[in-house]
Amino acid sequence: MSLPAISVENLSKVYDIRGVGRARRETLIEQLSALFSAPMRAVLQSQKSLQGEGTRKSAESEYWALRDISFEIPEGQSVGIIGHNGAGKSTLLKILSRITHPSSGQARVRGRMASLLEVGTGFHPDLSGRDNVLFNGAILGLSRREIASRFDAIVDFSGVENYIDTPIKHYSSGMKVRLAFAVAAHLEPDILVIDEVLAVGDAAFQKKCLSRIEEVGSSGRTVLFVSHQLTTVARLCQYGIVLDHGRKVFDGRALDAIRYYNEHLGLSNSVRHWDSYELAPGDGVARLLHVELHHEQGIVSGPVDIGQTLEVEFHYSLRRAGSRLTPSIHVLDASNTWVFSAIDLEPRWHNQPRPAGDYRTRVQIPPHFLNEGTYTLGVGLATLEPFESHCFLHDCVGFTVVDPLTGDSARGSYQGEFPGVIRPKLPWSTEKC
Amino acid sequence: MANGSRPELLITPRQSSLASFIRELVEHRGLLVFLVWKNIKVQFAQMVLGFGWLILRPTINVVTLTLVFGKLAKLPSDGQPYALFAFAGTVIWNYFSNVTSGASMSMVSNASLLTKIYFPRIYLPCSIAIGGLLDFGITLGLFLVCAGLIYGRWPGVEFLFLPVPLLLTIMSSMGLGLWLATLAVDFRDVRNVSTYLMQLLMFAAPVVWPVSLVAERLGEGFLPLYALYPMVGAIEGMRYTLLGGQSVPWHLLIPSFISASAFLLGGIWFFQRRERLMADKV
Repeated sequence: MSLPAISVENLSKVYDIRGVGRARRETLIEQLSALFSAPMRAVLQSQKSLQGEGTRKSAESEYWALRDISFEIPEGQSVGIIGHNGAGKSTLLKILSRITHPSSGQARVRGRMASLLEVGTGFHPDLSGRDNVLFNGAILGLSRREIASRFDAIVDFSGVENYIDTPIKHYSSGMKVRLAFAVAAHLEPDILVIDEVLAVGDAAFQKKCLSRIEEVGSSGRTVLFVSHQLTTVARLCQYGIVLDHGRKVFDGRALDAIRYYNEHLGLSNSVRHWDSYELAPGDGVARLLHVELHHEQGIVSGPVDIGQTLEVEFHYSLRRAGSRLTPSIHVLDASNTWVFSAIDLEPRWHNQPRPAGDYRTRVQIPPHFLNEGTYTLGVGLATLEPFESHCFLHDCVGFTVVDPLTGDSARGSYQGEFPGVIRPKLPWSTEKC
Repeated sequence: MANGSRPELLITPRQSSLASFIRELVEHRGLLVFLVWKNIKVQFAQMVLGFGWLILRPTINVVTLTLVFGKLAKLPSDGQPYALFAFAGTVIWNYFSNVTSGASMSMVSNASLLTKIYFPRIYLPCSIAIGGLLDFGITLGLFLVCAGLIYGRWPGVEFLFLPVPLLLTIMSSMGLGLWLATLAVDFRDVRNVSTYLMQLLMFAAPVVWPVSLVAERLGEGFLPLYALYPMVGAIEGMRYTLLGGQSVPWHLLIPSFISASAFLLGGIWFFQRRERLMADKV
């Protein structure tokens, strides 16, 4: 039985965020003049504290980026860390990478670790691709010999062979990213720490990177991976840790972690409601009041089965009688690709003048339509002839589509990666001739 | 697969010991080589555009100093041609000033590196001191060529003394650079402060006027005290190296070395104490 690759015990990190500029001096000049006027300040200070305005360290001046985190990562496992922005994911990685230090607690890392918090750290625009590969490799912990032996593979992976001796200021941003990731992909540490670096590059290159990370994970190395993209975590990791406001709230199998995240933290926004008409989005003509998502079991909580119909219901109010109001929905995926828009086609209302009043509209997204993944849904309210938009709100509600792998989806019995934005179940027919 | 033999790293909130600080320096030494190499590569890449500037800058510098202080103000120059006298001082002063200001900004200007990757931070100012030797070498070469071709003064055996003032200058510039670099993380105005500080320090140093002037005004006994400003020893040592002289100015070099050591050790101590907070602040 080998020791865990990473063990973290009661790790906390607290930042001091006392009013910048007031308690903390930003310039040397201020600091020096403050030093000389210290006696004066002492007097002022005592007056202040008499008035009960002392600058004591209070709870508001502290920000706990991490609070009492403990976990162990067995050697050879790929672990995903998920959580909202500001949940403490990056702070955790920074502590493990020794970029910043913990406030209390400790962590033990066994084995050579490479951390990839950014692609292309230290790239210099005036240097050639070749020189940047060498330097970036060194920065990420490769020795001169290791870089030399992997250089050709790196250049080959990046696909910028022809420009390798050109200063990278002449590269497109895509080329830079590819070169940077190529270096990262050829690190062979015992432990690899990666922070959302996949959110860059074109889809084909992202795919190449993902399979490379998968390879690293399956070759017995420990991978610690932070991402917003739950589907990526699901694909790459066996285990998942969920962080929320600096605390660990779940740790277990990756799919369970994602489920936990979706149910408790992620997509609690399957209902959106505006209490007062004045605050509701829209203008003097029409305003959106309420949006909710249902499936067969009622209001959506947690992931949506790919085989279920998803129903969007929204309420809105029309104040200008006679408007040809047309509601619409707009679905974007996790990478903000606009998957589709749809407008209300019901003949009774479509492009017909409507009386003023409150309306309730329902629209169904059919089963086996969207691929697995996380989506956001926006709602629009516009009048036609002439076209006039009254309300257009992206990201009203969100949902995650999952395939429970029961075999009746478009996957059939195939369980591997299934790319694409949509995943229709098409009628197939084959005859033996 | 047992991993008991793998290196184990313990991360705690405690301040790292001096021993582990030094161990880290040794462990990551390969990176220092790369930082220096990158620094020099970048200088070369930019040099392609303006190699002339590397020559022109010290030339303009010396010509201006000679016109203003030599011809106009008629400052004495210990019996040397004023241009050579000022140039010898400028060679070493420019290196000091480049390294000090480069090092003092090294944390702030590499913020993206500091917040993304771990390595001994002190390597950044170190790489500037080492990389700056390229520029120093070019200026020195220019001096030797000018002194030889124009004044017929080729370097004598005293030239072998070069490492001594150079070492003193590295120690002084790193010492001051480390203090400023550490302060620059907390205070935004260190860049401005260091600009003025360098001007002040230049006129406080015997770059454009000879040390004998100080001796005349304040007495011979004041010199060791004055030489506690390490660039006094460094510049006089450099003049001895390049222009020769009666004897090695040990009476200046020794106090200079003592105070430069104190400044450097203090700088390393201050820097190392604040090192782990830097990524949170830059």
